[in-house]
Amino acid sequence: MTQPLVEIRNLSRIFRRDSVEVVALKDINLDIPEGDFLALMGPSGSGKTTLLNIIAGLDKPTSGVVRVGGIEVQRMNEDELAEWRNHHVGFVFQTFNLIPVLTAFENVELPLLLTGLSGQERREHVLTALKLVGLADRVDHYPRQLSGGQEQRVAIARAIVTDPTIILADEPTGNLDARSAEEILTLLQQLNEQLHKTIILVTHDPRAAHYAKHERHLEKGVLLPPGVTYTVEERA
Amino acid sequence: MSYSGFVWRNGTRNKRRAILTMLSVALALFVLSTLVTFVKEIDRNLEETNPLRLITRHAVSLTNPLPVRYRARIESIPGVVAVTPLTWFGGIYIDEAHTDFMQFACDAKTLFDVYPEIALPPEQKEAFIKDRTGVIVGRRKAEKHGWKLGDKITLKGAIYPVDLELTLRGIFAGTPNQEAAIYFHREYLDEFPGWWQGTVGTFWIRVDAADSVPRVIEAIDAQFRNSDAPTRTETERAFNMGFVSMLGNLKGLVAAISSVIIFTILLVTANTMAMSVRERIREIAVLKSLGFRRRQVVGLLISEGMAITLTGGLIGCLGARLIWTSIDLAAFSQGFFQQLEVSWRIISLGGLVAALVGLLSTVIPAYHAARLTVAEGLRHVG
Ligand SMILES: Nc1ncnc2c1ncn2[C@@H]1O[C@H](COP(=O)(O)OP(=O)(O)OP(=O)(O)O)[C@@H](O)[C@H]1O
Ligand SMILES: [Mg+2]
Repeated sequence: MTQPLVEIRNLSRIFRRDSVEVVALKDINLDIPEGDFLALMGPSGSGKTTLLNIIAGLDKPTSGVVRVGGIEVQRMNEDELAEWRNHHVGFVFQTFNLIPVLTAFENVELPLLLTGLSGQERREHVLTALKLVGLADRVDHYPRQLSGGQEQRVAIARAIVTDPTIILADEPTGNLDARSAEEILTLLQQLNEQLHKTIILVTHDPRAAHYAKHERHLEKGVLLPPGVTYTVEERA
Repeated sequence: MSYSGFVWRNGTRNKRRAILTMLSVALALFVLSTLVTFVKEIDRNLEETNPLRLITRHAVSLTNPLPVRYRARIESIPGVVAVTPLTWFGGIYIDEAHTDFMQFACDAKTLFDVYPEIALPPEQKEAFIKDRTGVIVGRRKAEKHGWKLGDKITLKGAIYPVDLELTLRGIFAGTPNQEAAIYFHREYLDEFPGWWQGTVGTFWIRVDAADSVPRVIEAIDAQFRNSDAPTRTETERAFNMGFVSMLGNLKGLVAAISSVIIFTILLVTANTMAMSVRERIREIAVLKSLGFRRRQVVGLLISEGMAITLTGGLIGCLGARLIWTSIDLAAFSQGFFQQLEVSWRIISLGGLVAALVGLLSTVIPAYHAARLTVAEGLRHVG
């Protein structure tokens, strides 16, 4: 069996504020193979975002190990992490987080400014990414001139423009209406099936299960075994 | 999109705030560059003075006249090479707006002995000496007023209740300050009956060597100490400085005002930049999640602050240059102040000060914002 792309071993994250301790993640073990599309589900406060942030190197675990592509994420220093993220991680947020003063094109171009690509090469990459998300005709629009669904598609284009190893999406449909949400989920599915991108999707959305290959649930910082869903009352 | 394009777009995203900040920096640098230029101009005036030239005036005040007969006694003092009387006329040419030069009644025969730098063609000098109503003017003023040799120039007296009808006999060349005065015969003024007959305002003296200066000063003032009109003699530099000192400790004042101005714009921009950074904590986290390094984020924010203050600073300095060169300062000051040109050196310096203000005002908020982890930044609301 080949090595999984993401290996999580005995991962815990405890937040300490003043004298209060919050155990956000408790002894998580998880393998995610390359090419997987995993839906990570769970009630609010169960630790989904925290787990995603640690995988992306945006936050450090209190204990345990995260390896992505064989590299121990928490071992890297700030600068190494920044470069690693630029090359290997595409992040999609619930609130889109586009830069309001930049056009769709420029927002997607942003991560490429850190690479050695020429202006012409950057342009080609950006247009390819925007075409992929179906926004080739919106390149010069500013975020405020786009619908929520379109904004999120620009954000996805920004996440894939550097051709990352893994795409991490934190409730990308949370701020969208049902139709736009389905479009986004379909788009992620295409990226997974056609471009073989590994995707971790954090969501509350039960529809997500129809799009992802696997589904895992978190509850109060504990990763439930495969097939076990979190308790229904909290889901309502 | 270029890096600098990104900086500019970010810096000007809140248009009103960016413009107000630029304007306050511009205004501050306008005042700053003007003050520095003013001090420089005064310094330059003092540097143009001749260390071998002395001025004798009434001990009480410049407005008290001296008897013209003092001249012979000054001439007889050892070390004195030449003496020439000069009386400030202070009249009006056409109107105040046209009066952009000072007027002196002089002794044409000895004027050039004391003022060798008044460069006049020999035939014009001769024509001037021969004509009782003759007048000589500086080249720049002749050009400005369209005067040609032989033209009549009429001065209306303000201190002296007489009108002088002068004839242009010579046009001399010199520095702008030297060319800011015109000279006519004191004998002509003396023809009009009045209290001024037989008096002069000042005597201008050339001495033979720098060593003689203190001794000659002492000797002249000793001569007249017990007369009705005691004198005060000083070097040309000290004499000019006397005018400057009317403004008090100018340099100290300018330095104090300048520091207050710089400190104020520092506070204003620091406040603006802190606000602008605080509003973008999330965005900064997003940049870092895309792979921007901490130092790149700090660089981006500092460049933003510097772009705004540098733009404002250059607008202020260039504005000062434009305004002071397009205003006729000479006419405004009746010839006392010839120019106030904000030099390119001062403009570059002003730009540097403005950029530095941008740097200092952004470095702390930028550093704090960049230090937050991405996770913390993303959780930030607002
Ligand atoms: N920086 C922090 N300081 C203190 N506590 C934190 C911090 N970040 C997260 N937590 C806590 O850790 C727990 C897990 O938070 P997390 O954001 O991962 O939940 P989540 O599953 O993403 O929830 P949601 O669905 O609401 O986004 C919560 O109890 C939260 O309050
Ligand atoms: Mg979350």
